[in-house]
Amino acid sequence: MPANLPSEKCTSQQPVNVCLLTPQQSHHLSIAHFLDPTLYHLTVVYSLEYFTQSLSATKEKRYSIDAIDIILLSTDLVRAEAANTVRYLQTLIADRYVPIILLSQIDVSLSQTDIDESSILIDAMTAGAHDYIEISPKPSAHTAKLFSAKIASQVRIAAMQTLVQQQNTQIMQHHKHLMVEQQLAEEVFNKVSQNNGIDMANIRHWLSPIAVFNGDVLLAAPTPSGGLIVLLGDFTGHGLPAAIGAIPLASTFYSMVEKGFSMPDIIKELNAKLHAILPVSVFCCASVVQLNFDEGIVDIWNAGLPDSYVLRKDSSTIEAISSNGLALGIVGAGEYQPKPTRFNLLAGDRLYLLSDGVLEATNDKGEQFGDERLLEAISGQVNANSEKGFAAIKQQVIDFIGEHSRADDISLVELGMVNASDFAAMYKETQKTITAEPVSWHFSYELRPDSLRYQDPVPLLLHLLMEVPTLRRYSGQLFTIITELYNNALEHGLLGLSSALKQAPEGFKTYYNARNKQLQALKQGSVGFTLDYQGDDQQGLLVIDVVDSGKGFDYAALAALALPLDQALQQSQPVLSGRGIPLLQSICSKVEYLGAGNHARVEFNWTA
Amino acid sequence: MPISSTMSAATSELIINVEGRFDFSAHQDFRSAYEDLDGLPKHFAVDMTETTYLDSSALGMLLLLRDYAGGDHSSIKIINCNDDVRKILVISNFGRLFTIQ
Repeated sequence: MPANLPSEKCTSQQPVNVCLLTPQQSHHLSIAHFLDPTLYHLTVVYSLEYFTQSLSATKEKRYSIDAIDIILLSTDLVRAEAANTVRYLQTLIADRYVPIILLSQIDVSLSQTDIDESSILIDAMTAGAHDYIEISPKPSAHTAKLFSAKIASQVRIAAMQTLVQQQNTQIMQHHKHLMVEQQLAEEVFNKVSQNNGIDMANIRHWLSPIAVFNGDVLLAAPTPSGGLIVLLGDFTGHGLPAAIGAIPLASTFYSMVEKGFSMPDIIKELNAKLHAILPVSVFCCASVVQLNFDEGIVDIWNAGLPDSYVLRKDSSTIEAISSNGLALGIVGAGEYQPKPTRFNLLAGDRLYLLSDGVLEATNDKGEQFGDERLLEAISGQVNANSEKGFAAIKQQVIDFIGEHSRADDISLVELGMVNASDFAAMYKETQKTITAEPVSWHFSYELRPDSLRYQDPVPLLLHLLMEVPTLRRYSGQLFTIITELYNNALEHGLLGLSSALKQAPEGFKTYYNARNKQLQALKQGSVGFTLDYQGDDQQGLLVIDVVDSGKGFDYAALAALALPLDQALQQSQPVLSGRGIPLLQSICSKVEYLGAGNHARVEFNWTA
Repeated sequence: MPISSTMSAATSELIINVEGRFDFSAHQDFRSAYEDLDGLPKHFAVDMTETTYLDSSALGMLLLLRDYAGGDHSSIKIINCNDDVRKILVISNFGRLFTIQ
């Protein structure tokens, strides 16, 4: 900003720079006496040529165009060229607001020559001059006062104009800054959510493709046990607040799903994290879904979003899952207890998650799309295949709001229930080829009573294994191996519980009550894991040893039966039933018991 | 959306009225309605008689009020909600945090 603002000058008593362009013989020169020299600094220039020259010739400040606050242009100097001169002066002034005031001859309405004068004034003012002042050859004291008042008024207008310009520039700069920040936030957000699984074939989504994102977040990741967890979130506010929250949301979500944490644990942690980080007024409404493809089970938790829907194949009724929880990030960890609703679904059944954007999509009559239209659109797709069905729902919303309306706040997601094997195939497709350096390490981990009581070692161990990129695709199998081995060692080995308990009606309850009771009372004992891995990008061998401090069992007797281990186990009921050994054998290349039977060793092999 | 408030000295209750759309543009006014007071009222009521619409930033503002009023120990009623407003409050489970009447 130039420092010579008229407003500043008025308040700081710096004179206003007035430039008077007039011929030497003109009586317009008399105005020099009208202006108070303490308020105005007058520069008189006798010709336009001289004015132009002096602008470029001297560096003295008062001749600099940027220092001029008001230009008084005598029509005597330019006559018919007045309009062109005004245009020329404006190009010199450029973006600044400098009033150009014409000094005219006496009373413009009187004689023939005055008609010429008035058309000169009209042309010049049309060209951009701001005002005109009539000066008679013998001005009275009254004329002098009026003249000063007019100039003062123009100075005020100029000051106001300059302030507006200044503020406008500032607003534009702020806006630019804001856009850059939001784009940065978006970039970070996209990076955080990049390793997501939303490109899997059983997930269809319609998310607003807007430049600065709208606060809606879709996250999806396969679980180690071969399932899928999906989260649709809607943050309060757009832009930066959403970005601030979305980053920890996404990173926590992906790392916990990958490590095999349960859905309620993940939701609790997301809530706790957002509660700790976000300002009070920012929170995240969310629907979280876990799909278990092996058993056809879906758990849904809706916290503050509009109803989610289940559309069963061969059924025209839709089931709604209403919000029954507070949005993530509002209350602290202790108060947050997610209670997902469970559905048994078959391959081909579909789930719909949405944020309020779809329901609030408005047409030009001001009507909202609403849940009735949405339900109709969804139920109309029962017999369509998933791809066409989803496109049809989307089209109905677009047709409703009209092509010209903005659909920039819409998030609609469809999840398809599929067979476990189909999902495994989809998942594999999304995994890129992995290159890996050779890896060789050994890791020991022993849990003592307090840890056995309160900690689940499976996520930690799985996390360690997932650090090996080539093992990630086997996360489901590794999860099973570690879970089975740990449960065997703890429940049968250390606590001495018999699986026979589980056979009775109510058996599981009895079994787990006994497990908890004994675990609470546990004074000594341990379960130790030793993991040994060697591999490169072509193959790998993982050996897991699990040793518990229990008394073991007579595995030699099993060997004596000379049967394959799984059949032998069946014959030796009830000692070993429920140890999941056939399951381990189906995954591992070797399953054996050592020592007193309190030491299990398995080997897991993979080749590219 | 003009925000107005009345303080009842007898019951130490501040009633905040929200007129029209309750959204981000109300942010400053809504805050000053309870922050520019001498002392903290014991009870609060947000009167939604004239409120036509509520968005998620309004929910955020209600949470700010709750925080200001003492969080879990606050006493805040949300009264006279129309069906649309009530629906939003119910979806958000705000009944757990506020007394909705």
